[in-house]
Formats: sequence, structure tokens, C-alpha cells
Amino acid sequence: MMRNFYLVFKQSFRERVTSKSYLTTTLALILISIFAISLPSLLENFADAKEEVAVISNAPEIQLAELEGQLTDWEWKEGANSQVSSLKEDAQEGKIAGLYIIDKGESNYSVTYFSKNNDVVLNSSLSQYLQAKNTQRIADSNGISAADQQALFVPVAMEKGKFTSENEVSVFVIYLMLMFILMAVMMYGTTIATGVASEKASRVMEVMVTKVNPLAMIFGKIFGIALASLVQFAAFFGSVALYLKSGIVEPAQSLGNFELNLSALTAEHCVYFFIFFLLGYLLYASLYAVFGSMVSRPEELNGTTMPISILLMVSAFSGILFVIDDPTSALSKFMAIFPFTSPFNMIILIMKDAASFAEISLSIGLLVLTTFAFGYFAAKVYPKGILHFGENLKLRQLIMRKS
Amino acid sequence: MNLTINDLNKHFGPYHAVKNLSLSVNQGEAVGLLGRNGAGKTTTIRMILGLLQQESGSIQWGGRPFSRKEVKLGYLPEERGLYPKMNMLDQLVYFGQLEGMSKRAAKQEALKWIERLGISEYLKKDTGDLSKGNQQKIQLIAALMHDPDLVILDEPFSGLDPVNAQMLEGVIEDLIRLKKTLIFSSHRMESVESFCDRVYLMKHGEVVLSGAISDIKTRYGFKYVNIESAQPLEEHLTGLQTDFVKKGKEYQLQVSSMEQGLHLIEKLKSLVAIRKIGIADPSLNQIFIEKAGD
Repeated sequence: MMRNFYLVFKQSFRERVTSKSYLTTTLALILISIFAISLPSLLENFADAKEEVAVISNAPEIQLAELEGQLTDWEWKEGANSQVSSLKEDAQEGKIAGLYIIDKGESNYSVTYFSKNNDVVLNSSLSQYLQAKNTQRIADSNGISAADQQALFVPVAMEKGKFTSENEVSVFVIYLMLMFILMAVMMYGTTIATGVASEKASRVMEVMVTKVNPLAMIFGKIFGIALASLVQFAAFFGSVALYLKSGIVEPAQSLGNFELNLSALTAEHCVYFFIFFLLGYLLYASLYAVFGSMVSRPEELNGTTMPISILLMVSAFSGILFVIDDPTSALSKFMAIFPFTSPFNMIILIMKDAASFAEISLSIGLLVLTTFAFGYFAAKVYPKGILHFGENLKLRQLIMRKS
Repeated sequence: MNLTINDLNKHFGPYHAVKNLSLSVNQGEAVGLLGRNGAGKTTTIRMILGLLQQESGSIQWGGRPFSRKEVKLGYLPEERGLYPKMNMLDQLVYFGQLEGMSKRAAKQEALKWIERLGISEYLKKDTGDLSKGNQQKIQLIAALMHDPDLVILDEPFSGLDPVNAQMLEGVIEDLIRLKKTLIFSSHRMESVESFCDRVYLMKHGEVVLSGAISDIKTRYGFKYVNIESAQPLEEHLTGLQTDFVKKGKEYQLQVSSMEQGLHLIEKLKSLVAIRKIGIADPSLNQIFIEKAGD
């Protein structure tokens, strides 16, 4: 049986990785991710050119070179008092962002400006710069030491506090993990169901069932496609990692308001994630194989596999909606241990540092047992399904049907 | 080795698909399993293959309970199927390996059969791109390349043109010569007559006729008188109170014995000019229609 398992496994893997859809999906995943990572840098490069600002300084210590060095978001252009009228015209017509005339008053600098669009950021930046220059001027005239002057300009330390503890992975990263499991299980589960339905529709099953034990056939197929999926993910993550390491772009640290910080993610987290992803995939894959055997044609799969899709959605979204907010509640613990919901919800508890080793072990143990039980069940009902043609079978009919 | 089936029964819900079926096939013998669609042939074959579990009865191979693991089995199902996006050679090597052959042996044997059945030019072509007849040949190779002891061929001639059908006849003759145990299910009665020593005719899950073909014909209890005349015979045959069928120029009369046939011929000769006359045993096809029909 092991030999035939290996042959079916090899064949399923080869069939999957050489298919056009597999190669296209892999390439598309890599390109889309690289594009998404590069987007902030690309947007920066494509940002508008610096606006030109004219400045007439009647204070000798305010020099153009210093302005250019301090306020780098604008293109500074020095003007003379004789050019005031022409520069005012340019500002009025929008040819330049504004004309700024700096005078030196008794206690502070004063600025008269002419601007069509009234750039608030420019005004505030220039005002802050001149305020600092004035403070420095007063400090100089009062004999304050250079070190004290430096201390005057040290900015107040502002640091954004974290809502989560040190050992917790950010919520956004957990979302990404759940979405990854959900998408992968649905995508590869559907591939298995489609493969079974196609083999049934092409009647090759009639030949296969006489040559291969159903257990070897179903697990060979599931593991073959699982390996193909892992190869696809390895190609995807490997390419993205290489791209990031190349230094072509600076990776984004956040996406909107969501932190992308992966620093709290440990090797232990990654191992648990892999275990729950793999076991979850195997459990749902057995179900997909059974449901695939119930239809006569691959086109009929959508309606038939709907209960699995609903179960998957409920498992993933219950995690996002409830478990993530209250991981220590009794409901969360139950969802993290119950085999069909545990691949999603135990991941949340682990990432939020809310699961004990005993709870994790219990969850994995139950998941392994259920996966084997369902694999065995799938192998038992699978031949009945694949040898039935005509009207689609219902799950109850498939279970009750005698072989 | 012999295949012996005793008192096999199978229901699908309330429908009794196979009723008290008993049959035997000796080594080197070809046995025909006949019947209309839905008669229970495929269910019987699936029970032999172990794909369906019988409710009662036994299936034995060489006097021991039949076990799929212990019997080298070649099966050509009625519903043909191959992996459409896999090329012919890879597919045959895969099927051979699943039957326990090494990759090298499977390849060698596949190439030998491909050569014999004249499909070498399609070696690397995806099977989905091949004609139905060529796909049929690949299936036949998949059923035979591992040198099985028990061969079950379900409608092997469907989809084959006369040339390919003749090629297949040669293969089947070889299987019989090689002393394989052969179960042959077909609606082509002339093929069944030429290859099979014995037949089992099924109707509604039951065997309604069985035995050696010659014995069946002898004991079937009627013969056919075929008459061709220049004149229409309808009126005379009606007058003689004889059932008849007109087939082209010929009239076919069913009689219960040779004596009755001869007596009828004499009477007709006295009434009309007879151009051609003959008395024949019923063909297997005629017996099939008679016994398997409603």
C-alpha cells in the first residue's frame, strides 16, 4: 500500500506543479507581493516635484543656503527687493508657491508673504525655523554656553506606546496569518475536490479503484497537493525575502493604521503556525475529497462544497471577531481546542500568549486524531461516491449507502 | 485458476440488483456475461473486483476466498477513462507501476504493446488529444500489460472500427491461448459466439440462461426456417397459421423442431415457387433478444 501511496502522491504532485494554473498563480503571487512591498517607495518616487519658493531676506543671518539645508521640501530661490512686484505676480499666478519677505524686528523676525494657495505646512515650517533662529540669537547675546544652547533645541521624546504586551504578535500579523490559512485551505481544498471530480467525470476512477487501495489513493492525492502548496509558498516567501534582502526597496513598517512589525514573531510561533496550518489543511482536504466524490462533474462543485466553505469562514471569522478580543474566555478556549475551529483559533491564542503548553498539546492531539478519523472515513465513503454516476449524492446518502 | 461464484446477492435500496447468482470460469476459458443494460452485469463485476460488497454468497479463486491483493487482475471497464493531460507512455508506466511492476519493466511492456497495437506515433501525445479508438487501445494495454491471470473485459469492442476490432480479436485469442481466465461482457453477440465457450445471460439481476453456447442453441427448443420466393408469401403463411418475420426478401419462420420445419417447407412448396430455403439454429443474438427482452 505504501508503494502505491507514494506513486499516487508523486503523480498528484507532478500533475499539480506542472499545471499552467499552478505556475501562473505562483508567479502572480510573487509579482503582486513584490509590487505591494515596493508601492510606498514607488509612490515616493512618483511624488510631485518640489515647489519653488522665493525668499527676500532683510536679516543678514538668514541665509538661503541654510534655508535650503533646513527646509528641504521646497526649492528656495533668492530674490531682491527690486524684484518684489514681479515675484508677487509669479506668486499670484501660481508660478511659484509663494514670496516670503523676512525682516528683522526688535524682539523677533517678521514675515510678510504672498501666496495663492496659502501652504500651511510651509508657513509653519518657516515660522518654526525662524523661531529657533531667534532663540539662538537671544541665547548668543546672553552668553549662554554652546552646550546649553544645544539642550534648548533637543526635541521632546515622543514614543507611541503599545497596546499589547512584549510577547504578543501584532493583531494585523495575526489577521494575515488567519487569512493565509483560510485562503490556502480553500484554494488547495478546492483543487483536491476538483481533481477528484475531474477523475470521476473522466471515468479514470473506474480503473484506479481496481489498482489502488482507496486509503492510499485519497492520502496520496491529499499529500501530493499539500507538498505542491508548500513548494508554492516556499517559492513565494523565498522570492519576497530575497527581494527584501536585495535592498532595492525599504519595506513598509505599517499599512495604514496597522503595524506590520514582525519582531515579536519567534521561531516557536512559526513552528506552531506551520503545524496548525498543515493539520487544518489535511482535515479540511479530507472533507473536500469526500465532497468532490459526491458530484458527477467539476462544475457542480461550488454548491456541494458550500458547507465546507461556511465552516471555514465561521472558524476564521469567529477568531477575528471574538477570540482575538478575549482570548482567555471559555468560548475562545473551546474554539481553540475543537478540531474544526482550532487551526484558526489556537493560532490566535498562541500569538497572543494566551495558551498553555497543555492546551496547545490537547488541541494538536485532537486535531491529529480527527484528521486521521476523517481521512479514514473519507477513504471508506470515497469509493462509493466515485462509483456513483447520475444525480449528485447528498452526504447523508453517501454515509448511509452500502458499499 | 478457476473463479467460482456461489449464490451472490446484492440490493440497492429496495432494488434487488443481483439475485442468487452462481457462475464459474475455468482457467483458459472465456465466459460471456450477457444481458441488457441494468441487468446486473456491472454490479456482478464490481463485486468480483471488491468494489462492492455482496450481501450473501461467496466469490472464490482457486478454491480460496477471492482477495484482490492475491489475484493478478486485468480489468477493462465499460466506462473508459484516462488522464487526459498525461501522455500515453507516462500513463501506461504509471498504471503498470500501480500493478506492482518496476518502472523499467512497465516501460518495456508498455512499448511492446504500443508497438503491437500500432499506436507508436502517439507515444508522447496527451491521451486527451487521441481518438476514442486509440484511447480504447491504451485502456486495453493498461488492463493487460502486467500479465494478469484473471481478465475482465467489459464491452471491449465499443468504439472500435472493424480493423481495430480485428486487432482486438487477435489479442483476445492470445489471452485464451495463454490460459487466462477470461470474463467477457459484450453486446456484440458474434464476438461472444466466436470467443466464449459458455455464457451466462442475466435479466433483472438473475441468470436466466447459462451453459455452453452449442448446448443452449440445441436445448433452446426452436429453429428458424428462412425462405425466399419470387412471390409474396404473407397470405400463404397466414393461411398456414405460422408466425413469421419479413427481413428484406426473406421470410423467417420460427418452428419448434426440425420435423415441423420440414413439414412446413413441403406445404409451401406445393403452394408457391421457392427460390431459396434453409433451416438454422437460432443465433445467440436471437436468443438474447428472445430471453433478455421484456
